[in-house]
Amino acid sequence: MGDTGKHLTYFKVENFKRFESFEMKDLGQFNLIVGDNNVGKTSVLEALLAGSPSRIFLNRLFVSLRFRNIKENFIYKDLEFYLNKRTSSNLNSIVCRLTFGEGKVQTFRLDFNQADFLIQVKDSNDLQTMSNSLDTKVAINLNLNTPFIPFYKGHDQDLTNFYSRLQENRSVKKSFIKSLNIIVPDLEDIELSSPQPDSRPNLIVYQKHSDSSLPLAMFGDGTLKLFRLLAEIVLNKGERLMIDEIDTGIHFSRFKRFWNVILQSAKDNDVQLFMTTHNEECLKYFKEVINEELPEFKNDVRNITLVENAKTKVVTAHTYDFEQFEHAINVGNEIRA
Amino acid sequence: MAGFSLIVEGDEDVRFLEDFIEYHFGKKIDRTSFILVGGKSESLHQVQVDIQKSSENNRNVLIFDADDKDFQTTSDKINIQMGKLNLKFHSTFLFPNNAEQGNLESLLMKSVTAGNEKLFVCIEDYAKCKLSLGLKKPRPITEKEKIFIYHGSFEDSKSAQGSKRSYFDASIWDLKCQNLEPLKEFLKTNLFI
Repeated sequence: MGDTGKHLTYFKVENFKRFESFEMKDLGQFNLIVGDNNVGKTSVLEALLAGSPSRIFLNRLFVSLRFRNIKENFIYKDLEFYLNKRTSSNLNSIVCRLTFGEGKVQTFRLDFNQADFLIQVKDSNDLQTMSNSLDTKVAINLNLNTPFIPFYKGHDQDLTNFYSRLQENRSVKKSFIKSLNIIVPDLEDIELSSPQPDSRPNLIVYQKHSDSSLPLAMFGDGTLKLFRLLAEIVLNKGERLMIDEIDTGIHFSRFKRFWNVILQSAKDNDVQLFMTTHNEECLKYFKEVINEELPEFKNDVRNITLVENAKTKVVTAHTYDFEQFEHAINVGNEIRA
Repeated sequence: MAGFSLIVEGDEDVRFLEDFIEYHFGKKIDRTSFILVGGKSESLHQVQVDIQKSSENNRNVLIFDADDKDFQTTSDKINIQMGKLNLKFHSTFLFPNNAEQGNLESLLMKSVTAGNEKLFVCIEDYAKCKLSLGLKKPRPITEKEKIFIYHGSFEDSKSAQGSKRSYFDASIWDLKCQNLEPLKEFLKTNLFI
């Protein structure tokens, strides 16, 4: 399983979005997260953005806010979006607790001090506490990596930046293009091109049997999705990556090859994946790929179903290992709710 | 949401209970109200998470076969497994009648429309005849197969396969018969009250 010491085995968050307290146990390298609409799947992915140092954690939360298209410019007070709305004291805190395979435990704490109008961030790795006034404007650093892919995200300028680094290694580039062939079989090469001398470079694609190129942005959602997923897996080598609705844009007939490529790439790059989906076929083909093509990955697989208690509204996570996940799909037991 | 989950051994149990519940209680329950174990109590670990998940919002009701063992032995086996897996069920019913040895098939054989029992005499004769022929590797007919032959003996019976069989045809099945009363009372008390 590579260096799984850096991968999460346990995660808990308190006072975040709809969760007063929420935990996931027995995490693997490949974690599928399923559940009903509005149960909090995307919120779980956002909470998993917790990471050192504190300024990076905050930056990631703002980038994620930006993904939601709520507004363009932020102040620190906007992070209250992530607070559980049921709490009402002057000192509201979001707490994330992470346990890693090597046994290390890390805690992040975001305190919103309404009385002093401050946000304070404490990272158990850091002795210093980061502190800002709630009305301070935020300068989001888009060059810092945010390991979260929202369901709609396809082509963007960041892919160009990334690819320019990736293509410096010939074998990495070759492997990358070969992986893309599952969606675009006649894709031969991808290069950077600047249409005008002063313009930003963009990505262009060469296909077999054609001398002319096409901008990558012209390709379908599935191609752009796969390009992004593979790029972000390589970019997040050794870390974790959160992917919302991983099946979006992928035709069912491609699922098996899609999963094979994604899982192999994540394994090769030692990336821990947290992926949400609603799609039954996507789950079915995931099971088939593991069974038929990647049986050595079985121990790394988890399906985590989020369930809301109808009376208390508390959401709990129920973790299936691969055997239980496979059994549920084989006999037709509903795993998504 | 039904408010209950029925934990059963196989898809034949699902099929029968779907029709039985609709017939007696007017409720059409869907497949998501069932947790299929795909085996007996030894296989409960495979659905441990399904059952725990169901506990959040549902009454978990186990309906299994008592089988050939002493009824109490089967019941104890299930309880041991429940303890090992830290599972709790709201209630349990063992086919045929929560008191005796047997299974779904033995219950079905006693739930055929009055007058049709004679068909099983023919089926038994067929089974004995088959074994008397001196064929190489003859196989006795199972109870499931007897039910299959019974149901398939009637015109317009459609599929006789246990996972697809309909029980609404009153010329084939008597869902009001006395032998089905213990099951009906159990479901009434544990699902609908």
